[in-house]
Amino acid sequence: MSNPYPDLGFGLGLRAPHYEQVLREKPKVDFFEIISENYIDAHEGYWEYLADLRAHYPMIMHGVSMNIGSADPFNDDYFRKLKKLIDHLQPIWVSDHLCFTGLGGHNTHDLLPIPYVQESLQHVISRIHEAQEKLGRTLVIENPSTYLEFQASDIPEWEFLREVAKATGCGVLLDVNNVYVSSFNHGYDPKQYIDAIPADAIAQIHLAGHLNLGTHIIDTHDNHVIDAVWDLYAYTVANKGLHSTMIEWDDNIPAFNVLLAEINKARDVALRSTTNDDAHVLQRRA
Amino acid sequence: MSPCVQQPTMMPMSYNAALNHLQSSILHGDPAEAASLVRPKPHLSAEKQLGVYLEGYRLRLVQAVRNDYPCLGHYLGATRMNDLVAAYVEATPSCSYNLDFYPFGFGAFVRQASQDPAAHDLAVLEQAIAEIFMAPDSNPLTAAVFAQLDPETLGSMVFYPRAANRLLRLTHDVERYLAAWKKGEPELTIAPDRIHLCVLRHNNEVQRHRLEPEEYHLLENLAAGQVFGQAIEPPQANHPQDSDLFAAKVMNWLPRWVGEGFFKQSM
Repeated sequence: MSNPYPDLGFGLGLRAPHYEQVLREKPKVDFFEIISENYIDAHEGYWEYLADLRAHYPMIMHGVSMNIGSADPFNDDYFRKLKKLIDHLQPIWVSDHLCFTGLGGHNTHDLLPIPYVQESLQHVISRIHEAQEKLGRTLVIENPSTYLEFQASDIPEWEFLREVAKATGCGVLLDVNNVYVSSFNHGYDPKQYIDAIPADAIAQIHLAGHLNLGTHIIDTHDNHVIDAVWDLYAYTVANKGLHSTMIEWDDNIPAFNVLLAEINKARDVALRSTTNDDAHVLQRRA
Repeated sequence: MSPCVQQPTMMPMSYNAALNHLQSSILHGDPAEAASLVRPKPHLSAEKQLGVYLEGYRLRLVQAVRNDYPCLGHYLGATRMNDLVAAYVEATPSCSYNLDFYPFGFGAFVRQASQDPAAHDLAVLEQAIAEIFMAPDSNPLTAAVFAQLDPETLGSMVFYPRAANRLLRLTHDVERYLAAWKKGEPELTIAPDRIHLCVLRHNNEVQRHRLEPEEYHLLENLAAGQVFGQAIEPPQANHPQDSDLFAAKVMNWLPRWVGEGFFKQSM
């Protein structure tokens, strides 16, 4: 089976401090990813801005509140608004996370872990089917950074994610930094995670900086990607091929040139790590 | 902590219970509630692992509130503001997928929790600004459309306020304080003074307009759905000696309101 997701190149998360500069200068970025929740309730000025940008760049919508793992029914208001933004922007794909964000009507505004057991696997599969039906499109699901594991979990996260993708046809947003963070926090080999995800299911790769507190790592998105994550990204490219790759930087957001340098570094790492055929693709694009 | 609207669960108890224990532990700030569910790590106890989520939850909500009430934070000072925000977060769960909506209850909380009436008014003003920023769009009644209206029928017309439009009547001049703070000018006190404001979003920007008391009264009546002729009667009755002067004022206000986008297009 071939990968149905186009390789968009090297992109960035669009963040407020760079709005004007991006629109004015149209920087050399292959695509932008937006956080859906930042816009679904925003006034028309934002929607006009996004439409202007969409005319120049491929765009991806990345969500944090679909609440796929929850036992609550889906929030119809959220889906209605998300669909409206999808119709407006026509993103290349729409993603969210393998997690729950709240229960009983609450929202913790965090990507909370779920137990990885058969019961939850069947639940998540049915929820993704339902979400895909509501949106009329295939979703892309990201592995979260986690800081705890449930005692009850008896399926490794990578197997869980692989089974979810296989059963629902959803794509995988493989966050290489999250794989690194969770592997550090839970003591497994991050390459084992990468190995388990089928290349043809990978839609996109995320990279980001994090905070290492010695005993555990927090996924802060507030700094440069560290060398160990670059190495894991190189391993991913070498073993899974080229996929749309994006830098996430959400706190202590630097000047736009710093972000451009980070995606150029991603391009260089990919170039060094990829096969000859893919390297030609990269060189043509650069 | 007031509960959010509960939805019937879709799952067997074991999975639902696990998620519920984790969430409850986070909302209550008590890692012991869920520690038995968590796999301990050699260098990090179950409680410490849960602590990452407990702390992250509070940091996110606190930051969301502080972002929407920056001037109140300046007025109260760090200690009082931190105490108020922390108390709000502990008392108030988030019930929306959108974190931008979470701070909207903080104004009412300040009214309950603080004895400082100037702080109440400043919280009301900053809350209105935050709410108006997120309020739904509505097309303005334009000057061109307004110019085509028949003056003879003005008295029977209804002028609907924009969706992103809020009238405020306050007992302290927090508008002056906020304006000075935004300019970086020293404004050490908030003077007791009755003020009337219209906060609205027009051309995608939140704007604040200071209103005369009668102007506020008339706009309040229009916002209640009264036709123009009916809405104008009570404020006009307050000026029995100056009815011509008042009428002239109204005829100045009306095109200004239209120009500043106070009303929506459907009439």
